[in-house]
Amino acid sequence: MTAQQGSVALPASPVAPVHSLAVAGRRLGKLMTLPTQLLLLFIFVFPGLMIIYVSLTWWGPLDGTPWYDAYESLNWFDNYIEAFSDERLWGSIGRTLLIMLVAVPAEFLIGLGLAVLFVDSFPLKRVFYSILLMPMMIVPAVAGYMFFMLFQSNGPINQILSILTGSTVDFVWLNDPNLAFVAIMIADIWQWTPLMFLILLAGMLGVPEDQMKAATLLGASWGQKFFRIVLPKMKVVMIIAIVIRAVEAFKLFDVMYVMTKGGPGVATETVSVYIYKVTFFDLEWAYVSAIGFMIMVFLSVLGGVGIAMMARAQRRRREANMGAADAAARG
Amino acid sequence: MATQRAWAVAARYVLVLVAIVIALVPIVWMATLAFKPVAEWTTATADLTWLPKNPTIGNFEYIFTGQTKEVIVTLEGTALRPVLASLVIASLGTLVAVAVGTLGAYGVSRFAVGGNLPLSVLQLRLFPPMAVMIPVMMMWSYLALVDTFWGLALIYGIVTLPFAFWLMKTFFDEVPREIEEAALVEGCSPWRVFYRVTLPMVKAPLATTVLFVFILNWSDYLVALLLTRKDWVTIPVYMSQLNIAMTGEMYGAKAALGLIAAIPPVVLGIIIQKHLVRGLTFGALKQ
Amino acid sequence: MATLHTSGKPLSRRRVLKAGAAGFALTSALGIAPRYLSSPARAAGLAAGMTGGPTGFDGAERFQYNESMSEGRAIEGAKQLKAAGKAPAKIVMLLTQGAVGQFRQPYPEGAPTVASVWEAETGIPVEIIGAGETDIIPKVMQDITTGSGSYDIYTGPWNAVGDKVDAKGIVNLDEFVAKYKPDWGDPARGTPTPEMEKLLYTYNGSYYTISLDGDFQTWVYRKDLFEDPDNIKRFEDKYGWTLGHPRTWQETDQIAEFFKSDTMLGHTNLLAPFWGLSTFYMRFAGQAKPNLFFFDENGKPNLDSDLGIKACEEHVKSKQWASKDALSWTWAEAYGAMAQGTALMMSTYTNLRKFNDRMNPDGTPATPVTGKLGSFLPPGNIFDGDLVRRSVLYYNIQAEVSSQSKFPEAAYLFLQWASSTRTFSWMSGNPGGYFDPFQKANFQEPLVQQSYHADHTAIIEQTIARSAPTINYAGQGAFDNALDEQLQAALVGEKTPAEAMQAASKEWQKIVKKRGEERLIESINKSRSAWPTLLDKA
Repeated sequence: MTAQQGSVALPASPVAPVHSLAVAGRRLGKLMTLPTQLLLLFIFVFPGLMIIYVSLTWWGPLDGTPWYDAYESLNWFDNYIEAFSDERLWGSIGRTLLIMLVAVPAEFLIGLGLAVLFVDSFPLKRVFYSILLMPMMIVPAVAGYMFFMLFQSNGPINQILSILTGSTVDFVWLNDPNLAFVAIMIADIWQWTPLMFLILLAGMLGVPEDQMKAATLLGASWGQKFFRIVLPKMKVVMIIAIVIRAVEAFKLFDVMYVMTKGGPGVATETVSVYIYKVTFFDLEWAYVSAIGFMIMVFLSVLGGVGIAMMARAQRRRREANMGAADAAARG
Repeated sequence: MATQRAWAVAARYVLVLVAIVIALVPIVWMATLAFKPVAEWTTATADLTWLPKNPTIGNFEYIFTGQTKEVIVTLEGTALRPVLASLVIASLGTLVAVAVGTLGAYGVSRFAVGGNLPLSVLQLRLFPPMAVMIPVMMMWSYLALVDTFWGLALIYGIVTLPFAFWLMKTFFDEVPREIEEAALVEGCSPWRVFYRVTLPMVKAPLATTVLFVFILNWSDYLVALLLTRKDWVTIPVYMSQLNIAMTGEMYGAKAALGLIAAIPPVVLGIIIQKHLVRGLTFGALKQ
Repeated sequence: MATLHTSGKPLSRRRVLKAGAAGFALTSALGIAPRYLSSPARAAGLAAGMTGGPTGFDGAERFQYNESMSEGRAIEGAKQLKAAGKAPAKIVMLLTQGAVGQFRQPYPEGAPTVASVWEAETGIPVEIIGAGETDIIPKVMQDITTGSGSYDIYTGPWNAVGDKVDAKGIVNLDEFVAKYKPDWGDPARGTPTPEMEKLLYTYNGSYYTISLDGDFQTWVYRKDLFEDPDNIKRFEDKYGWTLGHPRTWQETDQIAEFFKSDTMLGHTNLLAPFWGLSTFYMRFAGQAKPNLFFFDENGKPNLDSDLGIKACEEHVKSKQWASKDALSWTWAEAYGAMAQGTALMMSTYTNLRKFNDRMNPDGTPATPVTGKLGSFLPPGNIFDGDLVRRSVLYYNIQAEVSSQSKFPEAAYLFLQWASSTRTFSWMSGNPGGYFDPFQKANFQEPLVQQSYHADHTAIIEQTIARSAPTINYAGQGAFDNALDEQLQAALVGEKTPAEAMQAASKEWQKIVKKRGEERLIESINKSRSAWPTLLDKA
């Protein structure tokens, strides 16, 4: 289960002979990206235009007119202005970010800890490993129903806690704003730590063995090896793992919609749950469109910045490599 | 030194076992609940038992035959169709996402085409689907895609495309080009290079991508709720309908279905287990 | 006691269907007007003078009809549409999953299913598509706005009718009602009062929706505990009055407080989002004589009035006698607590006793509380000698014809047939679903009395007379949602009741403005006229 066999071990070439392939296959490249382009066009054009158009009006299903007649109630930017002072929207964004900021690092740390435990082989490792991956195979909606039952005040979780602590624990998990929040995060951490574990373990197994051996020969302690060799080598893997989870956590819906429906009150209302409620209960579709568009713009900027940073990091690495090659040539 | 090692081994087992127990608590609850009769479902008041007092296969019988002794209401539709629908739709959606994503990723990685494509693809994944459901609902209805397997598979393919695209792109980026160049020099066409040389090298990440995309498609509730009606209702949507006047939510039946719904991803996971860890490094390890 | 049947029933349904289809094929082949022909097997079971209805069980004749009756007119109309090629290949109905059983489950023993009788008599099959109780509004709104036309018939809460009318999603039924004359408002068999017919079937003066339910929140309690001499004595020592049916909310709260213990909930009234609104509205409505309305005549919310805030304070206070998990309990968990015998009383949908207070087919009690439940009138407040007892109508499954249906008349006829007093009496006794009785004929029906219990149906009837409508005008979803969130904030202690009511009131004013003040005030005042005026002597 090591990550080193195969082609990856070959060193990257300092000079970039990409051009020949790039030139030979330009037509093919266009052809290959065509399906992606088409799907994107398909999913962006109509929804994008409709969202922008509708967001500039008061239109909603209760008008009884089709959406393309929305111009009758044109209001330009009123929805956007309203969004800026919408406490519930900002509250839900804040809660979503908070879940992200607590759950994702927790998943990361637990995942990393588990990965350390699994890095060398030991009896039954394969079995344990498979069991640990199971939570992410459970459909989130089902997990939501199970957690709803587990977190009842006379439910299994309080029972387990009572046994562990030796005194009666009767937290009212889902009826207390703070505990409900904790319960949601526990459910998220339970379900997605396995993914972190999997990715980080992969990263750890990929650290070249010769370097580790060399460090051991030099008398490095376990801690030194971990912090000086393993962690730096895993940087990219760690970033990927965190980004994947953070993006998905922002969309959190299924589990919590089943567990709390955003309650008690709005204590666990995330952006997705808020939008769901405004869409189907308040029926303010123009307003939802404005929110949707704002999120799209915001996330695009964020994504753009992220990609630019990644590109810069890659460029820097290439330049460093080339610099090294130059130095070698000169020397 | 030896005692220290013994301690370390013991500590490892203890920690791993704790993690396993935590991972299993909800799953064991679900598994035992699936075998509990109606009287033992309720969370309201019944004394709590982990193992069913009167084990029954009634829940499975109910969702697959539509009736069981304890429940007076027969089901309008059994779970068989939703299970098949989920299998068809999630697989097809996965095929779309992985095929399109792999081609696109290779194109972008190798031929410097596509411009801002990576960013656009990323945006698609960043976006909470709930925020665009209104126009998507309209569009799917205009195109008569609501409640068809291809309609749902198409949207699944689209929303998971970014996953496939980015996973594959990171990996292609790390595959050394020398081998491909060499093949090119020997007279292979660029397509043959891709198909015969590069693709076999990324088998492992491809398998991992398939698993992830499949799990995402398999789990979705929201999109399926809004884009299906009856014929192609998937497992999560069908599950939300498992409630009857007498007991409200049919937890036992839901648990039984949940248990069955866990089988395909687990089986897929086992099939590709040996590729799993390798694939997940996204090639990022070569530094 | 209701006896229930279990296995083998789908077979009989299929058999009936087949017989019906064969009969129909015959009539069309012969080219004879269907009304003069019914298959011999069916005719055999019908009482003299009757042309249709269920057969095969004791008392079936009570649900049979001929062309002079509402059901018979609907069947004849449908047959004529079919003969003229104006009937659909099937009628598609979107229905809350928990109610499907009443169309598809045979009841009582030996009976066909309700849907199969229609199918056999008209040859028009009905396809029922189930949806969760809270998923159904999104599904309907989606169908209306996308124009997919997936359904001929929508069902859903009575409260959403205004939204559906404004969205132009449902058909004005005035013409069909005039043509086929349903017996909904029949003085002897229909709604308890003419006003109730207006309330349940019309919106802004026109017929739009058809009631299939009677969700007048009714109180159910543990009779055995109330009648226990030891409890009576201890209660009197503590509160100075004799334990019995409470007249006021104050008395109700004292009873809840008295019985609340580690093993017994003082009440299990609904407090959760969505479901708990009914509990609040009920307490709210009885705060003034004759009523405390949700809005005053000028469309200003009464939520933040002193009385409104008082209602909220009491509502929040009552939480301490309910389950600690009450804020996440739907009716299902609350029913469960009653069924397990760990809750004293609750105000809820009338079918609680249909499900909990019954015998199993094998003659054993279905729950530990079988035979131990009773019902009482809604409590209220006393104003100089008058007792204002109030309950509310909330949720209540209603059916409408979709504007996109290509065969609205046929869809309407199916609904008229199902909602007319004979068919509905037969259907509402069936424990297979949610539909509750509300017509005079339902309450007199032995099958209904058997499953709902005669003492309960008597209380339900009196509760209906004291019930205020909740919100059903356009913007309802937004109104209810806004109030709900503030109520929850008060219940978890994030806001004081006063703060919560002020905030909710502000939200409501905003919604009123958005929906158009004039039109909304008109709807609000129309709704006010449907509020009860009945007062009891204190």
